[in-house]
Amino acid sequence: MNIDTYIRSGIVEAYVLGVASADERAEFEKLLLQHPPLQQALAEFEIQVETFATNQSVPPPSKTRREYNDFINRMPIPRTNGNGGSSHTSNGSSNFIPAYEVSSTHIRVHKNWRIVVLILFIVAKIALAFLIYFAIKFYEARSEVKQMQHKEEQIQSGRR
Amino acid sequence: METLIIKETLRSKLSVGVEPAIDYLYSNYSSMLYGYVLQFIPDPSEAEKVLTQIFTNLAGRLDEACDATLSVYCWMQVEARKLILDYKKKNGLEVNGHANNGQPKNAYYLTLLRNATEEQRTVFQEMFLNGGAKEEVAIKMNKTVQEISRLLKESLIILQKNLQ
Repeated sequence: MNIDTYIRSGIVEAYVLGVASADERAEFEKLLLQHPPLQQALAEFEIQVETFATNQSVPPPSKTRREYNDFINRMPIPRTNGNGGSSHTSNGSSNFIPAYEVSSTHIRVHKNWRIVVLILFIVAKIALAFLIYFAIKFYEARSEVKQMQHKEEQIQSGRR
Repeated sequence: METLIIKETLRSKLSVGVEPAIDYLYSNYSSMLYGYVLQFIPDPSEAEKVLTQIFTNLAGRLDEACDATLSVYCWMQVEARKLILDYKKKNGLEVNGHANNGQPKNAYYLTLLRNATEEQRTVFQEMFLNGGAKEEVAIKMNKTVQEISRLLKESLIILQKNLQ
């Protein structure tokens, strides 16, 4: 393979911008180890991309940084470095599950639980209202029964 | 080399912990990446959400950045694009990111393709901005996969020349 032709094929640009296919990436990475001109072409294009990105940069609103910090504090992120923490294979998959240290005291649950909690709250309120209503009715009925028993006793004692 | 210096710096930050490392990257690259995100998602509020997600997602994978073939920034940009395309797909956002006047709000790389043909621009846009596969784009444009490969290659060469 003529490496100059390969470099001029647009493969360096495709690789850096992420539009190269898996096969093209594998071939590129293999050839990169063998051809210093390809390494140089890659380094040059990377610098061009970074310079362009610097020129096109748009500062995000300061609230984004605050939201990001809040998010980071809520998320379980491995606090150890790559050597001491998770171990990755060459294809990027992890060999074992990393242990997380979480600084936040809050827990995170799925949004759907909000609806479940709301429904439970409403049902509990309705149940409480029914309980109070029937309790009042019960005491009223018991009071009436007592009054009727008292009247009956009075009638019976009057007959005697 | 600039790449090695940044990777070495990132490694030294990572040896202290993930937070100093990601803070260092945020301080250096958040503006660059925000500008990059805006070309895919012109709505600033959506773009801000995605930027937060990018840094959060990459925070646990910084050892990959140190070992990557690409420089730290270019690695972040490639990984950011995957997350952006995934976000757009999940949220059903407009795929071409065009404003009402038919022009992207932040044209970014498309500004480098002004002297490209309409077909070259379309192929670049479909593959880079929309994450389409060559086969999909070929069907959409009623062309062969080879023609799409050629048009992409031509657009990338034009882009590279205009970057110089």
